[in-house]
Amino acid sequence: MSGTPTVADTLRRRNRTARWQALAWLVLAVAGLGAPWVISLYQLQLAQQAMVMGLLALSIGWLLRQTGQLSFGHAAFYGIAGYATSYVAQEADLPIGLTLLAGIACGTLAAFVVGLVTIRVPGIAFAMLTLAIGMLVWVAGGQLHSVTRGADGLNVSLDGTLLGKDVVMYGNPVEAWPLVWGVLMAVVAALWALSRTTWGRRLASIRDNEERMRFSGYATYWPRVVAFTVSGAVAGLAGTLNLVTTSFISLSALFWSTSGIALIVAVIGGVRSVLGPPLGAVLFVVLQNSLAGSGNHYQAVIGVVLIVVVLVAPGGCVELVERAAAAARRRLSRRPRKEAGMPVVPTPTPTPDRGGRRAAAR
Amino acid sequence: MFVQVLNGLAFGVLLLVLSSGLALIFGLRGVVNFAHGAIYMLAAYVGLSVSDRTSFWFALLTVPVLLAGAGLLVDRYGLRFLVGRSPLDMVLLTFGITFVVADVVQTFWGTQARTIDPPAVLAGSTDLGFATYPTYRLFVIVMGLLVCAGLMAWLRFSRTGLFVRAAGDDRVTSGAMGINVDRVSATVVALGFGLAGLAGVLAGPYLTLSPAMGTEILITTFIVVVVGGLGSIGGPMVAALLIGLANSLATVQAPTLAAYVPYLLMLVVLLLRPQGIAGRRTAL
Repeated sequence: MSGTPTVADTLRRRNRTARWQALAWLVLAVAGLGAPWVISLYQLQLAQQAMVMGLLALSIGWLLRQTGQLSFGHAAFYGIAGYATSYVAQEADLPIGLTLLAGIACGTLAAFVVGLVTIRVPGIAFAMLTLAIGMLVWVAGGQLHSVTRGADGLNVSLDGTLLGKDVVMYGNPVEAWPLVWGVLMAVVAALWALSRTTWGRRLASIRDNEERMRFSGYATYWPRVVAFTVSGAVAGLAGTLNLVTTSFISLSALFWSTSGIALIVAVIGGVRSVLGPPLGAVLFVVLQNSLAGSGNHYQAVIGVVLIVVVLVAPGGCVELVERAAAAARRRLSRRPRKEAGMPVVPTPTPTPDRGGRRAAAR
Repeated sequence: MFVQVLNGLAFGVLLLVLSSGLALIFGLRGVVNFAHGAIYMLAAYVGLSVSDRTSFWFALLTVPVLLAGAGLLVDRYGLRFLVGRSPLDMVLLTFGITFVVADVVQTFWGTQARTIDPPAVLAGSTDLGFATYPTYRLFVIVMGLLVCAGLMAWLRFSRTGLFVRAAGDDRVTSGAMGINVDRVSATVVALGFGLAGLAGVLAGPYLTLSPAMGTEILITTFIVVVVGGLGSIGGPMVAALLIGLANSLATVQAPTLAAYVPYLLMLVVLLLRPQGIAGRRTAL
């Protein structure tokens, strides 16, 4: 253990933590499938709601994490996907899988088009612009009353067989849970993997210093448009999943507060980690449910929690957990702090032992 | 036609007062105040209660001052902690305020629509020679233009105005030159909140009060500021009048399209000039 850690050291260490994270996530994903046996039907229903909201929060949180852009307009893609799914289901006689895909595709396409325009706008104006475009879609949704039925909402009856079950069955949380949980976990894994690719790292570099990336000869426009589209596709997936599990959609799905709440949820959970937004969604639903009796002041409470989180722990709950874990580890370890802080990774300089093993392998 | 232009002017002037507050806070603090609409709504409701108990004029004087005080608190105990952090954190902070204010308004004033009665002097309509027009709207136009002219003059000609512009351009250098940047920014945030408060009270007798009024106008104000150009004060002023007029003319000429007009204007401007009419690219 001599000298400063090299780049190879850091990368190896990062890969090792990544392996642990992947393992922990896999355990979580499998364990989550057992939820219906552990919690009551009502709690399961709340959990399912939280997972759908977590998916929407994930789309916003991932965009913020990866590109540093705050979107207030994702309700548009969420709602468009939901309405498109119900419209296709009524008008065209397609197999259910294709119907759902068509819905998600509409949300994704909308995100692509919006991305083309908004990505050009610098920095913080982006947040204002996405809010404005989201409201434009809401206004349009209100005027297309024949399709959306306005605030009354639409009861959508989907039919067909999805993943070996009749679609109607997914109205029951016990039946729907594996689907909702599986989709969420798959998306978490996909987005996590995506942010670890070269492309994901390049996005993060553009976030940190766009000008430098541009001068280094990288395209900075298209990667962000694609990232926005990916994020919009996840929001669309959430919208369609919501439709499958509730068979209902109304204009409030398009309203800005849908994005707003999802954004708050993502930030409270913590956007630095991919699992943060779903965690925030669970906290939100628990909070909302426990406050339901007391005059329904959950808006104020959520607002105050957001303010406190922003001031105290900008990394959200994930950061708080990490801090607590680090403090506990420090207290538990008997070793002096100096040693505990050292990176415990094999150095790249060949030790006799290593050299011997390598020679033996040849 | 003249009446439509006047209507557009009245709405435009209201947007002018609101968006100049927003642009001011952004220009100096680098904060996009998402709570601006909520503050406007809160001012309208507080104005309703105050003018019911005393008089409209008293509300018009005190409510903006009250909200300016709230702005001081927000700056002192919120925004000041976030200096040097990502500007997105400040957006989230003000966004949190929005939710708290929305809850407060719904708790104290309920959700049904209300209006403030204008004072007797401004209640009727005035004969302008070519048309008769509601006196209160004329009052809004005059009042708003006066306030904005005063704001421009203050920024342009006074010593504190100079400090505000300097601190907006370069916080560190201004501080090194002996300007108390913290005090200047507290002044600006208070002024911005006060302007939102003034707009709220002015809007009370003219538009209806509802819990949705804050968001509705916030979106339009954002459009104004984005179209006008972030980081400038003059650009949003032009854009506010433009959008006010376009909105009012479209309501008459093409009612179904009217709701889209601000958005279309915004898209056109952004496609041609992403930084807005008078925005600087470097400001962000």
